[in-house]
Amino acid sequence: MAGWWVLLAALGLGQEPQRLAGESPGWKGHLRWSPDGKQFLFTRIHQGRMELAVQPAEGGDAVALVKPAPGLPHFDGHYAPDGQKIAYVHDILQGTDGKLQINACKADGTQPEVVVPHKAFEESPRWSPDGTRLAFVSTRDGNQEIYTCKPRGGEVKRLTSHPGFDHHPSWSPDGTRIAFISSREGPEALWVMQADGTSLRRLTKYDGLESWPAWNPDGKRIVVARNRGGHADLVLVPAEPGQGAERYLVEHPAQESFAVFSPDGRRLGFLSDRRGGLAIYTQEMREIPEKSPPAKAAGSP
Amino acid sequence: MLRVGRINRLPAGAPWVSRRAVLHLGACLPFGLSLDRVLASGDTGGTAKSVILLWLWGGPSQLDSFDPKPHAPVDFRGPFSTLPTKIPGIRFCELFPLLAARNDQFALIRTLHSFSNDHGVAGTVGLTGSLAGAVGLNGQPLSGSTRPSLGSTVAKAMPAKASLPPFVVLGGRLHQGKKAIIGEGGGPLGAAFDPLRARVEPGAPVSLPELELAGGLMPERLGDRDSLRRGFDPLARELDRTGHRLDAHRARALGLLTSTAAREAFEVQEENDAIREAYGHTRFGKSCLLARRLVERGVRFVQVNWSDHVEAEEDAGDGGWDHHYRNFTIMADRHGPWMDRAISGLLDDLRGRGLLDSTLVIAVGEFGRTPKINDKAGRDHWEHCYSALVAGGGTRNGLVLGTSDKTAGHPVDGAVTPADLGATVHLALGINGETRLNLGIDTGGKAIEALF
Repeated sequence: MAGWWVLLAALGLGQEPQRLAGESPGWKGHLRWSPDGKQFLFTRIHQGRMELAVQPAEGGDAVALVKPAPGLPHFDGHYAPDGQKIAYVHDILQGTDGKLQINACKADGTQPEVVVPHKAFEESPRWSPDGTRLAFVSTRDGNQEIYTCKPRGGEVKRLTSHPGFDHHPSWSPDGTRIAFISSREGPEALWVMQADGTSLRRLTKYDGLESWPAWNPDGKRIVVARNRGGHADLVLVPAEPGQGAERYLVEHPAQESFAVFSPDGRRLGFLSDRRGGLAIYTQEMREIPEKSPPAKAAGSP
Repeated sequence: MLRVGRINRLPAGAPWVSRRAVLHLGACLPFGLSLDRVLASGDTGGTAKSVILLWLWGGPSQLDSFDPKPHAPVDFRGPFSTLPTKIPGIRFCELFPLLAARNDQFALIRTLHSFSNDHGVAGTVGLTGSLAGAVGLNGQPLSGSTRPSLGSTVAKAMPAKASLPPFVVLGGRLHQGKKAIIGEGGGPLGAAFDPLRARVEPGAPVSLPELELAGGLMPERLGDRDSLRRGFDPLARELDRTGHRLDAHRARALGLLTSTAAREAFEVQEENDAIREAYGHTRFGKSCLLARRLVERGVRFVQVNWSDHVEAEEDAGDGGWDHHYRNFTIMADRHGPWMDRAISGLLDDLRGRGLLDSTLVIAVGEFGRTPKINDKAGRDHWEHCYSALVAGGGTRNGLVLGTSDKTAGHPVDGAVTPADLGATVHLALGINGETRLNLGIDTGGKAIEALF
C-alpha cells in the first residue's frame, strides 16, 4: 500500500473528534476495538467495581461484559484476532493486597478460564495477530518483564530482561514485532523488539512519560500517549527509520490516552477527559501519499 | 539540601514582621475576653480562618510525588523522570508538572513520620495526632481513649457562624478492608462535633447521607417546608432507632434544610465549565471544588477523602493510594494527573478569589511507601518518612522543610509528626494552648513554626 492514514485534524482539515454518546461517568482505560469494528471494549470503575465493559462503536449505552463479584476486579481486556474470546486480568483482592492472573472468556463474557495462573503479578494480555501466542507482563522474575505463552497457557517464554520496567506490549499487525514501554534508559519510552525478544530498539527520545502503544494497521507507525507538561497527547511514531517524522495526532490540554486504531485503519479511538468526564472519542482518518509532507499536502503555507 | 526552618524563597514584598510574630500576637488576643466570647465570635486571631485537609487515603509514595530520588538505584527511584520546579534545586516526579510550576506558592514538608505501618492505626494517628484507641488489622484497640479528629477540634474551638456546620467531610467513612477506622469524628467531644458528611461522585448531584435517612432527600430537593416536614419524621424515627442523639443531628439538619444559602453551597454544578475543567472531572477534583465553595461560605474545616477505601481497584471514589502492586501504572494513568490537576486548580481558584491567604490547605496521607520497589511493581507501607503539601492560611510560600536520606527512607533532619501538623493547624487558626487545654483538644504536638 502506498499510503498511510493520518488524522484530518492533524492536517487542520478535519472535524473535531467525536465524543461517543452513551458513556458512563468514572474512570476508563485499556480501550480496544473489536475485530469486526462494531464495538469498544474497555475497563471502567463503575459503582465501586472495576470491570470490563463494551459499548457500540457508533454510540450507545456501555454495559458490563460480566459483573465481577466483589473483591474480584477485571481489567485490561484484549480480543483474540477472531473476536471469539477476550483475555483479561483477573484480580483477587485479599485484604488490602491482591493477586493478578490472566483469564480468558468468550466474547460475551461467559466461560471464564485461567490462562496464566498467579505466579507473580500477571497482566496486560495481548493476543498475537495469528492467535498462536499471548504476550503478557509478569513480575515473576523480580520486576515487570514481557513474556509470551500459548493461548491456553504453557510454553512461557521470557522476552525481556532488565532492571528497568518493560511493559505495555503491543503486537505489530504482522506478528513479527512487539512494541512496548521501557524505562531501561531512564524515561518511560517507546521501544520495539522482534517477537522473539531480540533486536530491542528505542524508538523515541522524548524525556518524559510515554504509555500504551498501539500499531497502525499498516504496520509502519505506532501511536503512543505522551505526557506533555501535565496532559497526555497522542503521537504517531514511525516503527522504522526512514518512515517519516513523529507527528502529533491529537493535541489538547485535556488528557488523551489509550489510543487504538479501528481494524480498517480509518478511525482512531481514544479516551479523553475534554469537555467533561473521561469518555471515548473517535476521529476519522484519511489516506495521504506516503512521501508527501502532510502540512503541504494540507495546503498550509 | 535544605534544612528545617530555612527559607528557600520569600515572596516579593514580604513584611519584615514575620507571620510567626503576628500569630503570636493573635494568640494573645483572647486576653481580657472570656473564652466563651472568643469562641462565640469564632474569631481567634489566627492567620487562617478555614482549613481544607486533602486526605490521601492509602498513603502516596513520597518518591513518586514530591521527594523523588533520581540518583537512587532503579529499584528505588522507579521508572518516572523528575521535573525541575520553581524552587532551584527542588525536583518533583514528572507526574506533577502543574504543581511543579506552582511550588513557589506553597510549602512542602518532606520529613513527616508516623508510628505505624497499619492503615487503621496510622489513619487514626494522622487524623487525631494520637495512637490512643486506634484499631489495626488485628482488631485490637490500642490503649487510651480515642482523641477527636482534627476537624472536630476545630469545630469545637471555632463554631460556625452561618447555617453550615463547622466541619464537613467530603467522601464516605474511611475504611481498612471492611472496617471503618477510628478517629474520624468528635470522639470524646461528642456527636455534636462529628462531621457532616457529603458524598461526591462525578456526574451526580452531591448527596448528604445523614439527610438521606429522611427519605432520600437531596439538597436540591429541599426547597419547601412540606418536604422538610415530611423528611423529618422518618429522620427522627431512624435516629431514635439507631440511638443517635437527635438534638445535634436535628439542629444541624434544620440549619441545612432551612437555609437556601447552605443548600446552594453544595450545588457544584452551578460552577462554570472552565472552573470545573480546572479541577478535573474526578471525584477528588469535584470534591476540591466543593471544598472551596464551603470555605467560601464560612465552613471552618473541610476534609476531602480521596477515597473511602485504601485499595485502588475497587472503591466508592477514585480508588485509594495503597499501591502494593501496579503502583506505577496507577500513578501514571490515574492518581498522578488527577491529583496534580485538582490541587493546582484548587490553589489557583482560592488565590483568584482572595481566599488562599485565609485558607490553610494541607495534602497528606497516613504514611508514605517503601523506598525499595517490591516484586509486584508496587511499593508497600512506609511510616518512617513521607511528604505533605501545605499552602495558604498565612504559611510561607516556596519552603521545603526537612531533608530525607538518599532513598527518601528516613529523615536526615527536621522530622515532624502528624501531631505536629495538627498543632500547626491550631496555630494557624489562632487556637492557643490555653484554649486547647480548656477544651480538651490538644493534639500533643508542637506546631511547625518555620512554616509561618
